[in-house]
Amino acid sequence: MPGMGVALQADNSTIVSAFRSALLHQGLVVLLVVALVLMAWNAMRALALRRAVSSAEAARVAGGLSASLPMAGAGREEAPEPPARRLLRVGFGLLWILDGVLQGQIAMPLGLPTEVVQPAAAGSPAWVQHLVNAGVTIWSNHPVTAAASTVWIQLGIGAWLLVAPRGRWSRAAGLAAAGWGVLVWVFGEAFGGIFAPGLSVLFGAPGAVLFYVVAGVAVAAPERAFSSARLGRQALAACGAFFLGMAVLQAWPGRGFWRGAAAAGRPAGTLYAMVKSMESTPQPHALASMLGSFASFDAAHGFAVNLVVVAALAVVGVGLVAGHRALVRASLAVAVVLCLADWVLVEDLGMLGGVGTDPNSMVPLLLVLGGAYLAWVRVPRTAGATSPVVVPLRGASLRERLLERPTYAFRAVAAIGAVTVALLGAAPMAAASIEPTAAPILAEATDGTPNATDFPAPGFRLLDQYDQPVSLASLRGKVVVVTFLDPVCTSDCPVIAQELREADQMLGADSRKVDIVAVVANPLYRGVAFTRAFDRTEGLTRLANWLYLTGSLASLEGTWNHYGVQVAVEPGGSMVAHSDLAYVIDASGMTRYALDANPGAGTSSTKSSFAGLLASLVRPLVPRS
Amino acid sequence: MTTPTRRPRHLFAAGALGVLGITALAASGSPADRSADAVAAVRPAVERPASLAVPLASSFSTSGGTWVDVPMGRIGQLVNTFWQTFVLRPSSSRWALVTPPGVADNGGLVSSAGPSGHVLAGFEASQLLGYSPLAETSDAGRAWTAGLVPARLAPTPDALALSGDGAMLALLGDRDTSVVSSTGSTTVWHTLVRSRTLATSPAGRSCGVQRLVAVAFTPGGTPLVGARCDRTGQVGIFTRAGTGWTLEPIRMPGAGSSLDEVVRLSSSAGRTTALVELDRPRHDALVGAWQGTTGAWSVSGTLELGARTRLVASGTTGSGAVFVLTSSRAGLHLDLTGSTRAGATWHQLPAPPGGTAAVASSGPAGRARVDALVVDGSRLVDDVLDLRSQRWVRSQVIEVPITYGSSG
Repeated sequence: MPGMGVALQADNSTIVSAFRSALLHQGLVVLLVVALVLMAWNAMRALALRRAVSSAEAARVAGGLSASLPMAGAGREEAPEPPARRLLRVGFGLLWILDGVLQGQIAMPLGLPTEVVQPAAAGSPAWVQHLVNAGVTIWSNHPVTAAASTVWIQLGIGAWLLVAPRGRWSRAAGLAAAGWGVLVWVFGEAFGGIFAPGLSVLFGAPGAVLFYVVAGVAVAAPERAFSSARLGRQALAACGAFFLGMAVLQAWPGRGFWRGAAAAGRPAGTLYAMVKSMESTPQPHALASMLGSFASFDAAHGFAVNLVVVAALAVVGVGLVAGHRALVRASLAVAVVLCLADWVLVEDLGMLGGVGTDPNSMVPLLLVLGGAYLAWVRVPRTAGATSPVVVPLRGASLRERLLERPTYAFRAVAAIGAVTVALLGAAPMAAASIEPTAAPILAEATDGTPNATDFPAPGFRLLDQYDQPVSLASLRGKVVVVTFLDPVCTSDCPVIAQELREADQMLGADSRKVDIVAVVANPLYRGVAFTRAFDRTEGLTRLANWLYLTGSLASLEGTWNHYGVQVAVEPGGSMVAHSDLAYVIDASGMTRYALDANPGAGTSSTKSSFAGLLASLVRPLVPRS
Repeated sequence: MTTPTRRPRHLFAAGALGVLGITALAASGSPADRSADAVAAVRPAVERPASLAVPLASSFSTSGGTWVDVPMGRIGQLVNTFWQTFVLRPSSSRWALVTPPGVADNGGLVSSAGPSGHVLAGFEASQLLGYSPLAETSDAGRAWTAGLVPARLAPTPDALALSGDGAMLALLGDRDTSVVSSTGSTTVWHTLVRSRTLATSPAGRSCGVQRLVAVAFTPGGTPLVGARCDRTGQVGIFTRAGTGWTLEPIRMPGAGSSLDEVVRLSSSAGRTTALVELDRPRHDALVGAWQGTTGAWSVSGTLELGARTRLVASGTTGSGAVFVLTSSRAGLHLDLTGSTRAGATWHQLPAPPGGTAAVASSGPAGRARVDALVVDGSRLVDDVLDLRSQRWVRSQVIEVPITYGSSG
């Protein structure tokens, strides 16, 4: 059949609709959380105000003291948050929120594994691909849940970083950001492609999310780490070493970066090929035009372009390592120009095309550089303070702290809300990762929703693979699944057979009351020899409740007609075309469901999904007596 | 304020060196080095790689007509390459499309004829099909009868053989090959020999059998097996003798200086025909070999193959001549040898038109008709060689109804 084996498209309407629905429902929960946060904060403000008024009254009554209200925020004056830490926290908080929004693009459920994750792992060693595929399998089995979960996890982390500026809450936010970033770096970016050939900082090495992890670790660190210039100095030196390494990599011969356009006997340069590839991404015409112009320029001056890039990387690296203030400033200026140019002209802003998950690496790299610089030059005034977090009243309880400091109250409650949002994503993701069966939505996206029916199943009398006569009536008392398979089919029938076998295994003990029946759907290759050969090669010979039926051409044609199955011999070396249908017949002989059994792409996810769907339809019909 | 403890400077240097070291390692790799495909494609160390790939495109001539199997469609896309069988019946000057229906043939078709004109076709299993269906015809492809072998046919043009009394041979498997036989039924088969069994037999050891590559019958109906051997100067053609096998004594030109690989093995015109590749250090050569009714073998001269020459198609004529269509940087070449005289030369025919996918030769010696079949997607163009002018003349165009995408 034309179209057999076609994978689900990223814009599949069933998946998109389910994704939007999931986001909407979860979004309502998030709104509820926000409302609760606001209500809680309002309540605390009201309580705090009432308490302040009654304290003032009591003080006036006691000794005629001034009737002024106690100052909000009474207590030891709070030291300002280290500028470096604030830059990282706020910058990456906003980035996480942006990434969460990007994760809500409709192509994410089906497009992320195939268009982003797996290409990122291509060329990596087998063990990396194995790890990545483990994550891809989980995502592919539950695309809607995984995509929606990722939205809320990232939005939650971003909000958490923004609303919790100091203290344990803030550090926990940094830890959560770093932890999630590691997961994304490993399973989503294949370790940033550092084990694959073609590594270049221009293309995002060592993985954008690694900078998120670095920032998360910095935010999670105790604030006293920012109390001296040493952290900044070390961070700048590390960044310098990174740039120097990237300069060496960029300059290394034989990697295609010194070439421009393709020439006789030589392929196109690596940078040129990447820019041309990014140019073809769906995006505003102006941006595509800019990339096209740059590609043309690189085509003609590939050597010079790479020379400039190598020089810039080396200058930045040397300047940052050198540690001289003027040199560092100059290097940072060069880095800003280089990173922004690369972000626009090579990385193409990173987030276009429908499956862009983040703005790629240059923006987070600049933030990390900025944070390192600030940590070096803008050391907090209360340097040496071991605990700049304010305790408004020495020995005060949490309740008193919440009541006495409205801003603290708001941040605490907002942080709880942000954590709740993140958990709104993390919990379903965790549940999906341990669920062995793929979501039924995949089968429904491929084949549509099963049709509920209620008519007597047409009878048949055929021969099984042991040459024994079998009729539908002889199977009365059990649930019967009937489908139609071509024993010499090269694509979908073997897949359908495996799905039926998997569904049978899912039924467990109930399978004893179920018969899985396949009827030959090939008028030419229909003998028992072919059904036996099919069973043998598909490992169905040991399935006790499997029947593969055949018979004379007349009896087969009658059965096809009664079950609405079209069978046609195609010319020109094609296989026989036939409908992919399956029926679920209850123990009394009534047809209860008619399904389209087209296996689609036949991936492990779609197979598991169909098997799960079929088992879920059969199980309630199994006689329990 | 306490002075922070200063970390040793060498740690920075070590870190920087570490980054540079990792950078160097990353730069030293190349896509080819790390290709997962390269990992998957490693052959077992015990078997030497074949030097000349033998394509399935082939033709043969029988009393019932001249047959050709040729790939069409979108070559390069497995699921959109569809093999077609054409026959030039004795009573006609035009080719007829007779591809056996009912099975997707994206993996290839192999055909073999018996002396009686029966033709047995086998489908190379592709994608998820785990065994090879067969089709048999006795009326030049007008009607086919279904059959099967219990596993996948070996990907070689001589994977099937028919004898005059209806016996059949099939070569199964790819690396671990075996031969099955049948006494007339296309659905009931018995194992005749496995490559491991032949390799450990006295005859097999003398040749150094690595893999079985062809099956045939002698004109007398005795099974023949062609094998790839790793001993120089030994041509791996074995004849069934009782319950064992004997190695045919075939002496190639420059005997002992090359690894001789059986490329084709068949029977026609009352004799067994073989095409052998001489695998030499510098460049390879092809040699035709024939076994007459006396059992003695005669070999042709060598057809020298230049560097980067690949075999496009091969076949036999009704008189038992062997021809090969090769492709090199200079273009297509068509060479024929068919004399039973020892050392007979190869004759080069006019270069076929570009895009020729198969060549067929029919008719009696001296008045043979040579067809070059050019494939362009679903269109087959037949050019016939005018023997007087030595030019190719357009004879026929066939549009094959190919259903792209039907194989998934």
